[in-house]
Amino acid sequence: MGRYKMLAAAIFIPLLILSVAGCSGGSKKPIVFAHAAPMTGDSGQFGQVESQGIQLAVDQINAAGGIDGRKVTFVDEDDRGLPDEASNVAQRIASNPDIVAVVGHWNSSCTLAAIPIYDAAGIPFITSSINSKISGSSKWEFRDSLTDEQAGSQIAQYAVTKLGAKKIAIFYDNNDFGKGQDSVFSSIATGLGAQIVDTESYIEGQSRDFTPQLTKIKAAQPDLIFLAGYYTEGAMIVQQAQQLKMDVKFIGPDGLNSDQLVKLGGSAVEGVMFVGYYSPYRTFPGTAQYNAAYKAKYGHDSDTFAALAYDATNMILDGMKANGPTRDGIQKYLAGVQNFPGVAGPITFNDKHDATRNIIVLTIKNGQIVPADIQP
Amino acid sequence: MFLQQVVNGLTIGAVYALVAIGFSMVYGIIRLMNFAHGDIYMVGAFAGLSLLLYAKFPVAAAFLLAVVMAILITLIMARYAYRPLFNAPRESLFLTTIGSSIILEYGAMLIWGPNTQPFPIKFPVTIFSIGSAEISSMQIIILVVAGISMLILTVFVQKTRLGMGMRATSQNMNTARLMGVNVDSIVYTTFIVGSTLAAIAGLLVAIYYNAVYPLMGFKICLVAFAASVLGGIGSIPGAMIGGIVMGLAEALGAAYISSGFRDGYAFIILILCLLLRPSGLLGKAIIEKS
Repeated sequence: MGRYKMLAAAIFIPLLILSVAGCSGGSKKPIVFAHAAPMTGDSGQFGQVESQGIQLAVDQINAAGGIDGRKVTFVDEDDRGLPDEASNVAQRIASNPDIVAVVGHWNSSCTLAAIPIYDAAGIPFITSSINSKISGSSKWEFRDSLTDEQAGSQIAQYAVTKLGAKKIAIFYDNNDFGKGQDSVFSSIATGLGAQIVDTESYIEGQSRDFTPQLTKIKAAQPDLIFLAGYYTEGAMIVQQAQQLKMDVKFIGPDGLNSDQLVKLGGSAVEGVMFVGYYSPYRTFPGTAQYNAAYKAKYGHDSDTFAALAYDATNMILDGMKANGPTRDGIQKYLAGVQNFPGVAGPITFNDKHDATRNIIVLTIKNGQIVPADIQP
Repeated sequence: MFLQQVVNGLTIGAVYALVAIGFSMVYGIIRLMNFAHGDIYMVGAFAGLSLLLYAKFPVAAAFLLAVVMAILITLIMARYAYRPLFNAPRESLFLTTIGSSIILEYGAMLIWGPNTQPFPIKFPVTIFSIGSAEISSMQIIILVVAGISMLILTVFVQKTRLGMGMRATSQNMNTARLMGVNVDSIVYTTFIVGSTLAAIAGLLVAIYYNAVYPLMGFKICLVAFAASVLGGIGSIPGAMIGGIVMGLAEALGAAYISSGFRDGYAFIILILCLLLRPSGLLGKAIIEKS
């Protein structure tokens, strides 16, 4: 019996080694990158549409033969919009040597939590978070949307100069995203001559009832409310404001930019304005084809975050083509990006790796997200 | 603005009161802090959502059935998770309630997904003005339903034989048993009544805020617990008052002090009350004999 065992071992072990060696030597292994975003939770909508944009870009490149004959794939990692979870996700990604780049995160708090991890591991990532502290935080970080200073200042200028708002109330989500928006908006708006008549805040997940804060805001009689939050609370806030018979316009940053705002808010959210960077009605080279392809695959127009993710993915793919599918190669390429032809507009990274672009103001009309009549 | 904040606070408080009553009753009868109670509130709301959205039941039938389903889940929990541990050390029973809470919450996430969902009833909302305050028809409905439920409950507990049995059992279970009260069925009845109120509260909240999500029971359970303690744990009128006080404290605190700490005010009031009156507002200072 013992002899047979030895014989079996003598045959099988070399076979095992050979087969494993055969597998890992493949230049036909797919190239992998990661998508880190809230796939579930109150910001979950954003991660899901980003994933769709990324999938479209990946499908297109694979249909064209991949990169050097290798297929490209990506993994979705769910950070649930929570900074603790984001750290876990970042660790998983950074410690996986097959992953060469990241599109993520989405929430400012999550990105801030993940930066030191990606930086230590040396993996390039493109985020659409807006908090200013992200700028220049790491040579591996790139931002394809605006910082909260730029976005906040553009919204404030739009609100005061284009909408003519004189008395503004601010209602912000008490996290890195909302606090940043609040301080920028109030300083720019007051600088332009408007008056901030009341400032209220809420903590995400604390309550679904915003009537106490809204009642205070109503007493201050603003002509405009700057709602710096995400779509779940945003929908409820607008509904409750309607119940309190508050006849005030709402404007907010890109956190409101989702069709879930309409699903949760119903008719109350008609006329609510928010920031976007993409609309199928604002065309750049490639926008129309992109939107048509997106619509064919998913059944509806693309939105800002899907478009940003699509552009981010294409930048990463171009980096792979130019410098090879490695973390260093992609980082070098991204650092030098000038006028990349994105479907949401051309992208150039400045020395802090921030992109410069103009906001579009979108609004809800008949349950659809369309550009507002007045643009910045 | 004060009147409006009072209206806001009463609405929030009425919901808290409905959930607090069930919590308090169960404690009164079997000295158990049922931390899965808040999740029954959530189950009521989700059951209503599914019946309306997927099974396409008419509204009244869906609500009735949702409450029945919440009751069933409670009874299953009571029979299979709690009852086997009635004679175990207090901590074990308490931990089981937490375990049941987790099962319900994450079970709901598995079934319905973790995101916030709209509730498929569009109530035509009319808004009335009382002085300087606005009150919507939905808020009125919440206040009226909560008020009627609490009234029915009080009549039930004070005037019926079953109610008398419940009061007897909450005073002393063994003596009540000796007196011929069917303690087992009293305990189940208590769970049923508590869950009915919680499920009703869940449905009301789902319509009012147009939002249901699996963790909605978590916070309300904490508030219900605090409200029960505030009013004197085991006392039904105490739980009602406790709930309303918590709601008012939250609204007025958020309005006049700072909206960031809004949860804090209710709990600060709780601490202050307990410092001054340790057995709660309507509680009796009972000295436990062995």
